[in-house]
Amino acid sequence: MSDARRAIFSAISRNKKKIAMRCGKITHTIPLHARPPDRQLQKLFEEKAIASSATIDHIGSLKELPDAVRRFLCDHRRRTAPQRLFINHPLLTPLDWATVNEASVDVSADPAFFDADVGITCAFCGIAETGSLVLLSETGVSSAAYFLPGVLIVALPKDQIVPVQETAWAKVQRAYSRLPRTVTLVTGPSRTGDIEQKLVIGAHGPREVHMVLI
Amino acid sequence: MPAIKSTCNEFRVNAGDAIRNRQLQTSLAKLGDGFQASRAAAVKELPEFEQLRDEARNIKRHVMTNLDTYLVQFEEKVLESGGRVHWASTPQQARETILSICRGACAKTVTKGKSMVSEEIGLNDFLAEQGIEPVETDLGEYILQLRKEAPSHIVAPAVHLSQQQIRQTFVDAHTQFAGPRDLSTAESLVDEARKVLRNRFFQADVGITGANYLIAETGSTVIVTNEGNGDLTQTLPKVHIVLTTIERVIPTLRDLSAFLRLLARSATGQEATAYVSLSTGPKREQDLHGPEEFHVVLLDNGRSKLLGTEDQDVLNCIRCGACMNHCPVYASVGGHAYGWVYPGPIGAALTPALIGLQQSADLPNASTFCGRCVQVCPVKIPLTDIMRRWRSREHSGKLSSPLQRALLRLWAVCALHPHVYHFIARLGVLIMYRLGRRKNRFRFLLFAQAWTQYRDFPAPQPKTFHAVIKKSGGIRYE
Repeated sequence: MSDARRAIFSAISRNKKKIAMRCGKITHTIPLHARPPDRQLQKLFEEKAIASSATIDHIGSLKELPDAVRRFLCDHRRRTAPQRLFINHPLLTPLDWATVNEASVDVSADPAFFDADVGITCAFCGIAETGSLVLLSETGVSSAAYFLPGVLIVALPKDQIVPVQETAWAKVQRAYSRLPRTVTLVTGPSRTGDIEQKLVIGAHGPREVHMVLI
Repeated sequence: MPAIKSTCNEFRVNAGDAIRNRQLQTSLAKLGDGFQASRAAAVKELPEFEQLRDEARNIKRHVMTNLDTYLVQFEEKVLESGGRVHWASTPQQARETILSICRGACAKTVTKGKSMVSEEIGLNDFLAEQGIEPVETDLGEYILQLRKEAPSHIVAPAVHLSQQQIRQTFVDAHTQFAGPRDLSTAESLVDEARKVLRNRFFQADVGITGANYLIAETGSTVIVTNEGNGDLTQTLPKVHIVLTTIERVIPTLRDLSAFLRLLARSATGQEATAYVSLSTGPKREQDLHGPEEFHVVLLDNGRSKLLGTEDQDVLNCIRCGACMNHCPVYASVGGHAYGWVYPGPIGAALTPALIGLQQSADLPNASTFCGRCVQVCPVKIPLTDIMRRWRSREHSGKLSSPLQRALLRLWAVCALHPHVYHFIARLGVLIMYRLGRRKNRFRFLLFAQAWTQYRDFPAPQPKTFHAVIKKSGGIRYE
């Protein structure tokens, strides 16, 4: 199809400057509400995350994560008890998951488990402006397991909350010379309005997104 | 050239049918001003919204004047990250390219994320003819695929259907669930689709998605979604094909953020959609999942011809659907009446450029020029100006009826000669006043049956407004 390429480029260079559309100076406004003082970043993040129907828990250190997961999964308000939990991050595998096991949940970091009922992973960072999580395809991580489980639990260190997308992009670009295969911003659970515009939470992706801030 | 047959030239008939279609009218009534209200609420929360619209328009115009530069940069970056870029001037070339990629992967089934470009090239029918089964995974698109219908809205494709119709579609199609089951709620329908499609995601050999944006700086393609189906489509199969058009490219990740602040607010009134996913190349060696091949198919299909023309701004469109959500014509006739892929004001402005004015001359007439579409467009496309220019081309190209052209010429004479105009107006209202004096209204009026069929026409006062003002010595501003 190199003929098509030639045809397209010759049409573009022939046509593009026929008339010049007035193009003002390129500026880039970052909304004021997304630039709170540093100490209020976490507050804004939590507000926005809750508004997107995510839930939030707090723990002191990563070690407490299995307890927090157990607390969340044993919540009596849950529709159906989850059976299988997939640990989807190398940082999380060394933790002691025995307590969750006791709650009759089958915990595994085996990649074959990637379509379990519950997926648990670590976010690269959080974006306060929209309460979004930035999830990457990384070494030893299944990016499919960000979308397949009914429940997605994400650990996020508080100091990894940045104000806006722009800061998040810069952070990813600092960490990776080339962007990972997928960079996904997740804002709350999956949803659809395709049936008479009725909002239904839980279309193809997770029905619940639970964030654990460390 | 058009891959799918257009019925744009039957717009008048289609619109009449749509207005008489009770089921459609019920659905359109349910749609109501829901989208308008949520957009208005979201915009109110963001004081910088107007400024962001200007900035977005500026970025788009900058891109269009440097389109070749950014496309080259995008292509380089895709290659660097291990992907491939395919160029297609016509829908046919795009279809052939996709077919050969699918053949290369020995594909039997292909999952698809929502893509209007795929509608534009008629991809589903083509793949099916070639023995490859396409499976739409966006809930709305999936329902339409089962019903063999086209989308009627670019963001909410099944907006013309009632929940009852969707329920019946599922009962008929999902024969694997034997026996009665509760499908009385929207939740239960979504759940069932989720179950059915889950297997299809795992079976698919190739995943095809569209792209809201292409980022030149990084060679990434971006999809903006709510369901998560697009992400499963591009993560699970071993081949990911991105099908989109050349004008989607933007320079940097910063620019992406500028557009993302506008897109969801304009479309559904959300601050952010549930998912925004950037794909850069195929999966890396240590990644557990992701495609082994990454292909980007870039279609032109007449867009490059719009560059450098006075209608160029129509290429700035980010496909949010706000123009159709705010259009009184769309609200009355729905999307199918427009007869091609893109309905509403954007369709009326874009379709003639893509499939030819001859095939679609009526679409630019499908507007009252109330201008709400221009007011809400996040990238400030002068939609009414563009439609007006198409109308004038329709007239000068003699595509309209001889009678219409003759009447317009007559009108032009009147409008250019105030004395003639006033004389006719005075005569007209006088006659109508005399005739309608008794009842003050008309049950029937020559040349105005379209009005009197549904309501009476009020009889005018004996003198024209101009005459009254003139007699009273003009308007005094006190």
